[in-house]
Amino acid sequence: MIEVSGLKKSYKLSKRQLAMIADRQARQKVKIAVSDLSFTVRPGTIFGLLGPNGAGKTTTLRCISTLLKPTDGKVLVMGIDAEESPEKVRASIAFLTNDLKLDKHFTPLDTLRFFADLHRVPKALAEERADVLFEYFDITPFKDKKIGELSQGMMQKVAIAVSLIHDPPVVIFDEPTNGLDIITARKVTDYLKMLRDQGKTIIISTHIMTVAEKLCDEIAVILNGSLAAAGTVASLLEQTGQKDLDDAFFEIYRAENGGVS
Amino acid sequence: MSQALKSIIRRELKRIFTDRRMVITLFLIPALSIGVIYSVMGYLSMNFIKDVEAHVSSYVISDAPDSFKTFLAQNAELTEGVEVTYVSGETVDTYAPLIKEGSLDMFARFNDDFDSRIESVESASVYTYYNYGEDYSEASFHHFVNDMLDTYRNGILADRFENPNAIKVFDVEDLSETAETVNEDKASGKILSTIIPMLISIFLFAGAMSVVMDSIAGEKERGTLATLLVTPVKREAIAIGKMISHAIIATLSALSSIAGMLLTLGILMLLMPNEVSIGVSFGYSALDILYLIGLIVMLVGIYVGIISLLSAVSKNVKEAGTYMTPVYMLIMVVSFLNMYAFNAEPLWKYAIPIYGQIVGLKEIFMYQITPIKFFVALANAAVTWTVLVLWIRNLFNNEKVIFTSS
Repeated sequence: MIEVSGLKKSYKLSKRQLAMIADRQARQKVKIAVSDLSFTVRPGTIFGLLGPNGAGKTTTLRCISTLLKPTDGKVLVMGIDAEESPEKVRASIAFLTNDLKLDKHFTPLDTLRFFADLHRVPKALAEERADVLFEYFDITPFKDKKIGELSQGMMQKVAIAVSLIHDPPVVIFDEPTNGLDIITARKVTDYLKMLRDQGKTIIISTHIMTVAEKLCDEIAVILNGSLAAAGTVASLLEQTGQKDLDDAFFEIYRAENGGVS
Repeated sequence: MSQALKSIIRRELKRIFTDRRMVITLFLIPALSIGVIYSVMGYLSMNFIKDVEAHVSSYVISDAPDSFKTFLAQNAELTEGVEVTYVSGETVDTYAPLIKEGSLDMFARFNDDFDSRIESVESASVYTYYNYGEDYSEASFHHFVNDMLDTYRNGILADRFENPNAIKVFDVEDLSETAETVNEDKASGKILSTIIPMLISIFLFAGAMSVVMDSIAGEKERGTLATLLVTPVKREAIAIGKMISHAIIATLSALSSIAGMLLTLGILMLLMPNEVSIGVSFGYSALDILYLIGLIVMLVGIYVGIISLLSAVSKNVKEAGTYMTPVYMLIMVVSFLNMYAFNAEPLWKYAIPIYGQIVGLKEIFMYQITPIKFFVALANAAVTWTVLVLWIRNLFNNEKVIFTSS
């Protein structure tokens, strides 16, 4: 279970960052990335954060995974306060984002073993899980090659396997299918569905409507750091009177930006 | 030690030891470069000395008085390796071009009536010409003035006063050896204490620099540090794990540099003429060796901490490098500070981080270190290390440090 209530995250911009904003009048020292965001992700569901680039999706996921401290509001993961006990929260999540990379010097097997150690997974169990994950994501033939020698898609699959080695109850994936070919992307979404069926709490961010439509049980549309709409795909279609999520999203976007699309 | 800490240390060590480039840069290059550079330098300077010594100097002396000719003939050791040509009525004009081109090393001219001036106790002069830009010529001039003329002058004085003691006034004789007043170990220690602590300090810092910058600033740059920070491992365990492994690597790298020095020493001893000895004897106890290891560990811990801190606040290795240069220079200055201080240092100096440890290293070689001094250095290192670890832990918790790009 993930409970986010009144989440706010703002940054003070440095002089250099301010100088990079072309419009002088738009220059403000504090940038609000996320403002008053609340939602709940229940076990056994896949929750999607949908929004354009810069909407605040990644910031929200980083706050849940304790890498960022919220400016205001509360984040509870499996009932644990993310600010009070960040280590406990990190023990119960799998976090995958493009910013987190694996050391290219090591092999997938080395890397999995190392992260299993850090998550205190017993050795025999870690080996067993590594085998299953490698087999599922077709990594087995490459498990002893250096990560630096693998293709981008294979690296992404290794990163997914690494994030799941401790079999956590909560899975947080930021743009999980980004940069993957259609077959690999399908493997990843199928795996997420399987994890959902196992009762895990899953939250993903995406700007790809088809991924959200096919994968997510519930969706939160985030625009400019705020929650613009939330609900199941069906309820969003009903709210906006559209036939597919793509059009529904644009309807929400138009309404939020005063009719400008 | 926690499982996570062990895993981090193991992985950091594996990262270095399985990377051929790092092994070469950290462990082979220091030993080889120091060994080769210093051996070649030593070999060349020894060759240079031998060459100057082997050179047969050619002097042209005009109007040499009979007394000088006789004096030289009687003191054959002074003309060893020297070819003297006597001429009369010549001036330097004829010989200056020869000296300049190097075919003649020195020209000297005595006053016309030198002997009679000496006889009548009038002023007399010897005019010398040499090329001070030429090593052979300069060495010839010094030999002529300091050895030949000086002995010749003393002979004349002795004749003039009849009693040699009249000109000598008194003798100074060094009987230290016979009276056994010299502490051989301490004399040797003095030589070691001048150079070794300074070298250990600089080698340790240099060894730590490349590995720590790559492991912290480099990992930040490559995005692998954030992956580590999203695990349930405590930030201080990550900081300590990295610091311990880096300290091990930096110490090994410094040992490689020291091995290079010893290699050089060995090569030079093989090349040196038999009569030259290094003149170093050791009388260090097991406790001294323990002090030495202890102080090296303290120093390397502090250095690794400082470099880790600077690497953590840097966006990438390049930025870390720019912070590192002034710190490296500062470390060099601190390492040089007490090179020539030979008195026992007061206790309070041991409480200064880095300086205290270098003073300690120096006093081991000088046989001046005491347990209390060692423990003061240990306390200062423990405090400094704790402050650095906590500081780095806070940096690892700081989102601006983790995500420098955001």
